[in-house]
Amino acid sequence: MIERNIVEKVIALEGVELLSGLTPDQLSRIALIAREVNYPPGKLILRPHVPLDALYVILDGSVEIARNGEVLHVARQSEVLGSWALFDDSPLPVTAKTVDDTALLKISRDDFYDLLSDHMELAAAIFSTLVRRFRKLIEQ
Amino acid sequence: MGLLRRWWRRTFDVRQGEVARTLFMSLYFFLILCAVHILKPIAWSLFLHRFSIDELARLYILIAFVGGLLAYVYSRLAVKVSLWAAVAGSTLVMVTVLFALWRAVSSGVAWLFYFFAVWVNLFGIVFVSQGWLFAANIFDGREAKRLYGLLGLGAILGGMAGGAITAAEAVSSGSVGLMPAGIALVMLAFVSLTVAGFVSPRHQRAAVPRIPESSHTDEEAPAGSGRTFQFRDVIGAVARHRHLLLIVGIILSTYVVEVLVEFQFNVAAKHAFSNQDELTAFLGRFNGLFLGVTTFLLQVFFTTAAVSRLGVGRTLMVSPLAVGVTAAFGIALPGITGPAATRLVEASTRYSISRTALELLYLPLPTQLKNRTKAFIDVFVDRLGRGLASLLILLLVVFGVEGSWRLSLLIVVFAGCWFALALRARGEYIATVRNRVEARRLDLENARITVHDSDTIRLLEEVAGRESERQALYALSLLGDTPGYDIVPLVEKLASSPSQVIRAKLYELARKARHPGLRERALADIEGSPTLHPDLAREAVAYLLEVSGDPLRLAARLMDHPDCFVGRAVLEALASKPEALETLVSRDWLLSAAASENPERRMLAAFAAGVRGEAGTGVLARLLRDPDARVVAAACRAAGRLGEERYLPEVVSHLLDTRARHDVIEALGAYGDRAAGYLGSLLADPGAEPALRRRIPRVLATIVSQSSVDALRRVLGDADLSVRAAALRALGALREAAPRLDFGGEELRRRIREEAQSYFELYAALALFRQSRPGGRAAGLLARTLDDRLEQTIERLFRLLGLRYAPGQIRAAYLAVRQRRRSEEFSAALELLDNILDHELREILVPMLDGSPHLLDIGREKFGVELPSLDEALEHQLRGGDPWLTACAVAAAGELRLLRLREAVSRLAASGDEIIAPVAQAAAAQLR
Repeated sequence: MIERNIVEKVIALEGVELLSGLTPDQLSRIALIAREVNYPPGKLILRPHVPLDALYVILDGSVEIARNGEVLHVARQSEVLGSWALFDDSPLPVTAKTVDDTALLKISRDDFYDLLSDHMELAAAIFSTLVRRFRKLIEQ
Repeated sequence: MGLLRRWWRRTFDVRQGEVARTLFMSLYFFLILCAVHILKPIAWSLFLHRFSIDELARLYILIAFVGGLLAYVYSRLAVKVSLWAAVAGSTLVMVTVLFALWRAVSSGVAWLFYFFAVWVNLFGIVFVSQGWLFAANIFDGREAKRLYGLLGLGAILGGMAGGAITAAEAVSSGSVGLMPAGIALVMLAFVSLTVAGFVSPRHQRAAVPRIPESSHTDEEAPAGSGRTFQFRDVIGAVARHRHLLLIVGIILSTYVVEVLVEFQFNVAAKHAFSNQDELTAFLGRFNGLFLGVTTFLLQVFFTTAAVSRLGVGRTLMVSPLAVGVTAAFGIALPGITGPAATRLVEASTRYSISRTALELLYLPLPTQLKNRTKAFIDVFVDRLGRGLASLLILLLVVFGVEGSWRLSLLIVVFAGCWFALALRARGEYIATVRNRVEARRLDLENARITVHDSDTIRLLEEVAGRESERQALYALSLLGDTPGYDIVPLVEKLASSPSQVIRAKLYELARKARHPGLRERALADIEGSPTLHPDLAREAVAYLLEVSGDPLRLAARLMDHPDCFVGRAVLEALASKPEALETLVSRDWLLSAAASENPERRMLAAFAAGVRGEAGTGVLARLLRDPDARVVAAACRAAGRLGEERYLPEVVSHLLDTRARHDVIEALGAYGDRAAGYLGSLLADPGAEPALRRRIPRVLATIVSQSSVDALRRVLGDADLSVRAAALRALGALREAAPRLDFGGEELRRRIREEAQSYFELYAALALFRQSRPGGRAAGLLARTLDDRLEQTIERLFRLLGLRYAPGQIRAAYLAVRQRRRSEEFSAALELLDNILDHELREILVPMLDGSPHLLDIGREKFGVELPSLDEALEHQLRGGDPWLTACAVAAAGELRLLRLREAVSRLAASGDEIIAPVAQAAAAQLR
């Protein structure tokens, strides 16, 4: 399957809340390190107690998220799996398994950190989004 | 027609959301001035008919006295209510009194004529002043600058209409019979003002405040303060603010000149026309026709343009200059010509240019201060000026020296004072605007603490013993810097601190105090642990070598310590002793350490080579290619310390390694000017690795020299926007570090124009997208990218401006422009730029930043930028050198099925560019 081009990746990344403070130009830099991965149905993406090393954005297909066998949510296009994985490698107590043929955009933490070290403005924009999120939580 | 429309749009730039406010405020001034010009002639004709002309000077003095009293009473009452309520209250009182006068004046009681004349004079001033104060609260500074001309125009037309009505109806209706018309106009004016407040945007409506009570601070009245208005507070505020003091001075000199000119004109007219009817006809023609039309023309064609081109300060100088010159030339002119010309120039420029500029002069003041003092200044100082001039005239009459040329001379002198004050006000206006813009910047130097008293010392000693490492270190630093304080007892007391960092600080203090008491403890610290905190290693070693009897022997012993930081500390401590270093670090030692399997040992070898030289071993060449990033970083630092140019390419290449980058930048900084040439050629080479080019400016920013500046200037037009932005950031840092370096005056102006042109091109493309709303995700992404590029262009423009003008002011202005929501600061920032930029740049940049609705016209006029078609806009981006923008444009062309661009898209699809080609291939498939 042909990998999506940079414009399509940026359009997909625009739906990620963590990256909502970034300009299209900045998202294009993240798109350059984002790799498209395609999985058949039934493929385990997240396992309980296994540390995360990447963030996934669903491009096509759907992913079932369950805890102790109970399905909590079925994530679909533009939803994100492991949104905190870029900052925290603690494992999540859930499994995430593809329901059908699924295309995901994978951003590995190491690549992401390399990118941030080169582009401080990206780090600043992401911090700004995080601060807004914390402020919102506090106000709630 | 198009020319007229363009002139109107430029002269009276009323924007969306401002029309209703402007219309009703102009209507207010029209109605009020119409009423004034009906009621004033009635009052004056009644007075002059009843009393002789000698009473006129006494009446002026009375008006001045009552004016001061009224200002006091008005200010006391107005602080208790909102501005709108103050206007409503004064309208009610004025209308009631006028109504009573209308009923009573026919009785012929003498004091009523005095009262009517005084009342009508003050009535005009109070209502005009209130109107401007209200306007200052519903228009921000930028709006005011564009729209006050229209408000002034309303006032002039009102005056002309009032004069015409009086001239036409006075005979048929009788003077007193016109009074109800004046009263009705006052009531209508109040309605108009209320509507103007109502149609103002919510945030500005909310800003129409109470006229605040005087308070202890300059800027804000304390909320809920029950303190009553104090006359001395206003006087105090005026005395404290040079800006206000200058306004007072200008108003005072304006009205002194006005009364002198008016008196000279009346005397000349009386001499010129012996027949009463001819005199009346002349005065009617002069005031109604000549003066009205001249003022109208000045207001329409000159005032707004003058304020916009000359700025507030220079506009203030126009009137005194014109009056002074006319009065001086008038001396040579026969009969009434000179005094009439002076009167025409004085009154027409005062009602138009001076009035508008003076109102704008208030704007940079804090709103609370302005509201607290303006009405008082306008009413009181106006009267005071007229009173002083009246006294002067009385003296002239008493001494029989009221001849025309002497009066002309006096007018020239006072116009000179007025001009000098206006000149001073210009500088003060810019300073006030600058202060308002810069007020947000935190002055960190104020946070510095100095220790003087014993209480503070006791407190710091206590803090130094606490568990908090950070606080203890800070307290120890302050105590260590305190002159005359003996730190040794405290050092001894804290020497057993469990914190390695605090112990490091204690060794540093002990070394500076040359106190040997901690020797055993320091040795135990070093030899008792295989790994140490770098600070502890450095300070303990430095301390031991300082207090040791045989430092070389001790140094040799410490060099074998397993922690390389100890060896490094030894080398640092001995850096100023080359002989000791050569004994300690032999050629064999260097070769052996560089070949060690232990990377820490290799790091030490690199460090040693940097401190004492390579001794012909060439170890740095090997260490610069070491697989361990820490060793590479140490080798880079060593190469920088030695300034070895042969290692420069190798060192620069490590800029791409994020783990070593910090050390590499410092190493290249240590090379200094020797590296600037090589770095500059690499930076200017478009074929060099883009990531490397982007990092070079940061290095050049640390090399403070003209070579760095020149290298950075060469890439200010680079196609890679991140290189351009990085170069500008670096130049900004260099300007702050060395403002005397040559940053290229004319070249900067050209760059600013280029960036501005680029802004207008992007703006035109974005305007097209906003107008045509083509739809589609790629087109939306392209529009957002264009928007983002506009922001980036503005940032680059400000950075360029920061190289040409005062960087602090430009930075503060940029922050204010970026956060447009804070409208007062935004206005102040634009006002600052309006005053400091060159004329050419101001004409381009200020409307651009102000979000003028005529940007497309400006772009067309200044740079020939036309609004493109969709095809043209995308084609332009396809040809551009901005890869991301090109990628977006390609995707949008495919999405929108723009077949005309098929060929260009196919070319890009075959280009092999790793970013653009895949996007172009997908777009080409859509266009097939």
